[in-house]
Amino acid sequence: MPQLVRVPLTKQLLSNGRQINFSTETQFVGDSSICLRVLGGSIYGETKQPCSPDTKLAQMIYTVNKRAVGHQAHCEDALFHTYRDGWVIAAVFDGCSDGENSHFASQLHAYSLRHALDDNWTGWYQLMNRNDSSVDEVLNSICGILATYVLSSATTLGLTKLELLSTAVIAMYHPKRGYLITKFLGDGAVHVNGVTHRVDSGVENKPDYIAYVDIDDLGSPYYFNDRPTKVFTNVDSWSICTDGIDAMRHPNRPLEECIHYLLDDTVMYQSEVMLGRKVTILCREGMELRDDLTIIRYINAVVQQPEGSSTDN
Amino acid sequence: MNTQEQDFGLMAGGGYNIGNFDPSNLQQEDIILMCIAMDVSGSVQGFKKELNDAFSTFIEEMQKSHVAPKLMCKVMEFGEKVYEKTGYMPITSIDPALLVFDPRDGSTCLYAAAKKAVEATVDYRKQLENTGVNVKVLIFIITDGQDNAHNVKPGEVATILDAIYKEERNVFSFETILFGVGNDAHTFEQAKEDMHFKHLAVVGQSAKEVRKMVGFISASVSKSASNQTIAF
Repeated sequence: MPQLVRVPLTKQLLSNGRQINFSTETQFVGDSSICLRVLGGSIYGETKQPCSPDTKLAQMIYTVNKRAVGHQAHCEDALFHTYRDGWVIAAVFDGCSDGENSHFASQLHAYSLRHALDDNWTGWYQLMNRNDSSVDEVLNSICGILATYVLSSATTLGLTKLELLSTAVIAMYHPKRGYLITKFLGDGAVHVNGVTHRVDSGVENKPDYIAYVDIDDLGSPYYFNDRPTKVFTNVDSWSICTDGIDAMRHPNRPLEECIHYLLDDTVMYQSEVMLGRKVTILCREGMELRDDLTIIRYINAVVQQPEGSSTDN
Repeated sequence: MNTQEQDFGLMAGGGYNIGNFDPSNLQQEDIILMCIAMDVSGSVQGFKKELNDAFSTFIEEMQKSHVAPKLMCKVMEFGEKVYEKTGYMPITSIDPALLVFDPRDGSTCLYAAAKKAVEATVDYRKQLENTGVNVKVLIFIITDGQDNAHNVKPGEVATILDAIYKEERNVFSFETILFGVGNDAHTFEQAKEDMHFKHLAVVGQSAKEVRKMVGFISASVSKSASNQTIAF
């Protein structure tokens, strides 16, 4: 696990070759909404961008979780992200508006995923170390354990299916390999290299919620094999979103322009709340969020170290 | 912008020759701007120690409070002229030593200070809002007497504030508070009315009264942070 360190960032060379001046000193720890982790060791030859020995790989995670105009009390989306043994695991959850207390359902899914990883990550990590092709298998297993934990919590709390309705988009990403795999349990989107890949629930809008799974069927590790899975390689930057990304209505900007502003544009990237501020700017311009919006955006970038600093901690 | 300013995330202020914190470096979506303009005319000499002690403690307390990440502060002094001690900076970056007020001038340009405080705050608020930050404003003007510099008319302040109050979004997010220190309540009331400030609090010059005033300021910040109405 790389140690988190305080790094005065002077310049950032994004993987697309653009340089952006960086004039802040920022400390990122734990699961704050932006994480900068400086990886020590032999990463230089493995990054796609040619970089000198005084550069390091930085990972920056931005999140936003905004309530739709029509939702009076709660944002029914939730999110979770973590960094374990070189892997970024991130997920967004969209509580069903037709369910009951869907804000709780989505948050329950988020906590259950965290719990599942806490309990099982070591085994999954060892499995992936033995066999590179097992990442897909591990992701299926994560979904299975997540479902088990969600359904077990529902039993403990006496929750009905209507109180458990939430989609999940789960991503696993290995920054050094540039490998991204996403699994969709319901609708949502993943945005990679400027292209938004959507999974929808069909014309009847009936997502295949975890709540509908029979807990007795979860013994099979292949149970979630048939759920939509998208794999990307050579990925530096990506985002996962709930379907609220397609429910933005701006009076002057087309949807794709709004999406590009949120998911590709790097203005204000030195602010850990960049996405929230960008949504606020769009809303001040008149944009309406017709559905709750949750985004996790990841930027894998090369950071040039200032002279004299040491980050091989 | 010089290197020093870049290093500390400062940017040139909107014509005020004082560095404000660069909005793009802010790590919060919601910010409270607190401007404190302090009378440093000679008559304040009598309670200078109480004032400095109270404000030093106030800054240190605010730096430790749960509001600290959201709170940005600007400190000004006024006597014959208006002196800007800091631009808008995160409260955590303010050195309490900066808040040593040293009464020295012979006159009091109260209205000029109020006008500059409002203009500087509105200017910076606009910059923040343009970068997607939600802003609440608290402007505190502290004086022990009436304006006798006569370089700005109170109506000039009133005109600016009226335009601000007209906007619905400012009803509960733009607060102006005049503190009158001393017994001249009528003068303070008149200044408040002439400038169209929202609130007036009159306190005495004893250490206890000065601490009470700082307590008002602290409470106002807390109420603003929790979306409560400020009242005196």
